[in-house]
Amino acid sequence: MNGRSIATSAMLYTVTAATLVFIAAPLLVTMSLSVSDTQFVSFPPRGFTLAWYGKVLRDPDFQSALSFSLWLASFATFGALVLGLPAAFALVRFPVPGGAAIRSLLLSPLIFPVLVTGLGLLQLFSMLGWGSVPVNLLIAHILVTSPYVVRTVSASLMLADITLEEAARTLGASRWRTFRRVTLPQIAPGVAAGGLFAFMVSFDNYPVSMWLADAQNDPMPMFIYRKATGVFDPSVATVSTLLIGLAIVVVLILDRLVGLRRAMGM
Amino acid sequence: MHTQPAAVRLADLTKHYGKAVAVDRLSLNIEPGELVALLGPSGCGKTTSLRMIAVLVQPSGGEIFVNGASITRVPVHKRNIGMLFQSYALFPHLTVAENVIFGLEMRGIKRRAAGLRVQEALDLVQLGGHQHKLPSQLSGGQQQRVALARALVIEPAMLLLDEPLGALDKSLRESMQVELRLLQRRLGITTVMVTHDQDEALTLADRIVVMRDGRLEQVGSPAEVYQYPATRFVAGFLGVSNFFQGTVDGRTGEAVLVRCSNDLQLTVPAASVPSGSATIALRPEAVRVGPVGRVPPGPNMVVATLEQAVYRGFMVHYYLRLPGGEPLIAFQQNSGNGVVVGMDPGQPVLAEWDEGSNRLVRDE
Ligand SMILES: Nc1ncnc2c1ncn2[C@@H]1O[C@H](COP(=O)(O)OP(=O)(O)O)[C@@H](O)[C@H]1O
Ligand SMILES: [Mg+2]
Repeated sequence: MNGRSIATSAMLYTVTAATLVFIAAPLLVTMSLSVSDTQFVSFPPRGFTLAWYGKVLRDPDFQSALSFSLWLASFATFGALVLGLPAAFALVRFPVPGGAAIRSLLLSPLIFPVLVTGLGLLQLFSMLGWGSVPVNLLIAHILVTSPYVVRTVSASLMLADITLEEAARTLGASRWRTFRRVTLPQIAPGVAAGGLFAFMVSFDNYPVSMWLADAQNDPMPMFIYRKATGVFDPSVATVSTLLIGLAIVVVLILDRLVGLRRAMGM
Repeated sequence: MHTQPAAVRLADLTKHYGKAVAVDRLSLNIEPGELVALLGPSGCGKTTSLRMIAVLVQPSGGEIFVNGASITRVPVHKRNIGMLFQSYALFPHLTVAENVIFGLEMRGIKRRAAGLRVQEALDLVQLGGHQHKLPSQLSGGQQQRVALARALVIEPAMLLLDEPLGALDKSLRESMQVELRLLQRRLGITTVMVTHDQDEALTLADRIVVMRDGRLEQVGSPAEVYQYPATRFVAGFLGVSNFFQGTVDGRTGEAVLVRCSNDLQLTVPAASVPSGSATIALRPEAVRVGPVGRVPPGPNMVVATLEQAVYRGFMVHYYLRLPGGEPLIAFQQNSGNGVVVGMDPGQPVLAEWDEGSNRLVRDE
């Protein structure tokens, strides 16, 4: 290895390490606070206790927020997949007139300020007189999550080999069976990545839920926000740590199942 | 495997892409069991033609008949066609056996019966022991054979091959050509093959369809197309040809006399006398080269300058220059007597050939 490449890789490592610290430090701080044996959040944490975990897990408000968010994220993901998969397929595989414009429209929730989207939806729902909060939340979450599915699935479809689909067709497979037996296995990592994004974005969403939620339908981010602005004891950090753990577990499982790293180009 | 060889007829098959015409009124009768090769330079519409037969591309006009019935509007998955792609197009997530059984599953054939047919098809292409491997674990030649087994196992009415051996290296390609030909003969399956490789077309095909700019240029057996090219394009594309331009100047006996520049006269056996200018194609292997004796008085001979003699084993290639500056190429079999005396580069030599080797071709 010559001097220049040593210098280059040293710089690469430094930048990577700095980025990792930058990303991980807040999480590590949160995690360390969650075991702090103090009445209020203070840094650095003092002592060690798992008491906050016991308290949080027994808290009925936490339980209902968690189960509501899991329900909401699951159905939003399902809805995003049901809508996003065919949309991506049509946009990539067929010369739809005005396809580029439709694609931009479908992806627009990604760039549109989510806060504004939420407010707009609130006004729309009240105008229409749609009173069911869970349903409204679900519709809103599907809207903001489906672009992630469209994007990742489109990317994998573009990479998938069309001649495989043509081969299946000449072998007697209908369009639907071709999709299921040949296309889907090829784009599975993209579908999983899109689904994961959709799930996490929904689970994590504050700016849309803020407008549409009420006391009976209380998603997790709102629960955390209320907790943090109320009594600022370490249980907030505990809740956050539990969610970090959940996210890691989901990512690991999906990576095992479909090779997520490949789908995200890592 | 028992395929019922199908008769296929293409009638004015046409494909437009916007304003561009990829295939222009292609008409062709294909006999049951025949192997027809579509041959032409890249971009001449071969693949598009083949894909229209397979209905992977919707024709802009024209019809396709199989055994007399139009299949133009039958969707691709109901056509019973075996197709081989240049990239093999094996399903990467399925094993060899799962790839081959795919078409049978789509036809709802019971697993046991299907399994037997898969075994039979894999034996046919000599891959009996590789059932449980993934395509990525096979060599290119083996992958193409799996693709062949997968296409044949459904007992298709016809087999379509798009540059089937293009991705293989030369020696493997040649042995696969022979194998493919034997198999096709044995099964008697009507086959349309696309290639830009003239050797492949000459080796494999019963008939060659030469295409140019989306149009059919000439159809015939390999020998017909090679020996009697109808156009200048065919004469130049299939093998090597010398070309002469001249004007028709009446008849001499059974032949038409064509006068070219620098006193070169050619006689062409032809029934009717075409008037005006004429283009004549001449194969290099028809030209005899020798030392200049006396100055030639007759037609179909010329004194030319020898520029280069290239020794190619059993053949010698002579590169000559005519008095008018045009090149003339001659291939001559090596007689085994070593170098011919009086044939040094830069020296004049006598080139001559038989009247019967001259071919009048259309030049457009
Ligand atoms: N999907 C397509 N869209 C537009 N033009 C095409 C398409 N497919 C082929 N063509 C054009 O049609 C012509 C014939 O192409 P093709 O059939 O692939 O030729 P070949 O197989 O003989 O090389 C080419 O000029 C090519 O650019
Ligand atoms: Mg082609």
